[in-house]
Amino acid sequence: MIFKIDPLSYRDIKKKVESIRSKNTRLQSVPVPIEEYIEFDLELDIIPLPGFRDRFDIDGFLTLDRTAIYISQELMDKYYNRYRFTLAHEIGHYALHGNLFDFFRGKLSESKSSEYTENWKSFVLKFNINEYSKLEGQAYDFAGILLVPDDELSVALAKAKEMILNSKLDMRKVNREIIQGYVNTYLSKRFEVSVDVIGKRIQKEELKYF
Amino acid sequence: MKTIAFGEMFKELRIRNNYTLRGFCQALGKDPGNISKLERGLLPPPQDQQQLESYAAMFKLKPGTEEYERFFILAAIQAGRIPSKLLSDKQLLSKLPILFRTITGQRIDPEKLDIFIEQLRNS
Repeated sequence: MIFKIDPLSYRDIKKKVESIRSKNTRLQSVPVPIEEYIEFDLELDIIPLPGFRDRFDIDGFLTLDRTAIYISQELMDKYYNRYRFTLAHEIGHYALHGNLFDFFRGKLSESKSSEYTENWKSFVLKFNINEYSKLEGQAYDFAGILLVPDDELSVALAKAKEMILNSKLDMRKVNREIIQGYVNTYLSKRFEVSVDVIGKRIQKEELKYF
Repeated sequence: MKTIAFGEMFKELRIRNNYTLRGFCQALGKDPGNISKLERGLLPPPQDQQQLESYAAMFKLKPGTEEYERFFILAAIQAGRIPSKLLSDKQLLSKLPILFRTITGQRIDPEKLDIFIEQLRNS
């Protein structure tokens, strides 16, 4: 079974996100109300799965029919930023990989209902790991751009820099990594994402901390 | 005329009142897993009148209105039904994943796929 994956660049993904954002005012506010976008605008179900994180290491997934996102209930209850990011990540698959989902669904539908699960297992196991990683990477980039919009990131970063300057710290004596960590933490609260996501967004946009 | 399921009405009212599943459950101290099951018809409507009243209040249903009456009537009619707890093969097909977001960023352990399917069927 051959399925060709689009080699989307970071710029391509950004274009896609910004096109979606330009048509939805809800996505133009920060922190981006991702749950509202999913439940109210896309009309997808968010279905909590208790225990799935412990048993299967799964944070979440988009269903093959693209009508629901199953999410670890533990994430929903305790790890809010990761919960938000996982939802945005699954929306990345929804927006970028719809043809892949339809392709797999079509292939599975061709089999007898008694063979669905065996065929599904075989598809999942035969999925090329490099292609799989590419798709996951694209969804990761999509989520980061969706939850941390460019303009707001630049504005918030400038504000964080101003706060540091106003603190009258002697920059020659302060460890730069500590400052970077402080800035990332400040921004992660603003966007309600993890510090890692902030760090990667700043890196991708080639923004400067100092 | 098709009778609407209580869970469907519940979800419609929640969305109409701008509550996300998580937000609604936080406001009432409810378990989101159970409310999701209630909405999907995997749990029967509650029979406790106080609980139903608290939901009706959240949904701004006014006593005496047709919608208020319908909410309570549907709950009463459908409370005794034993919901079908297992997804059929066809339903399961639609709910299966292709790509998983895992903690480690890796694919799910192949040895766990059978258990995963069974648990998904029950969820």
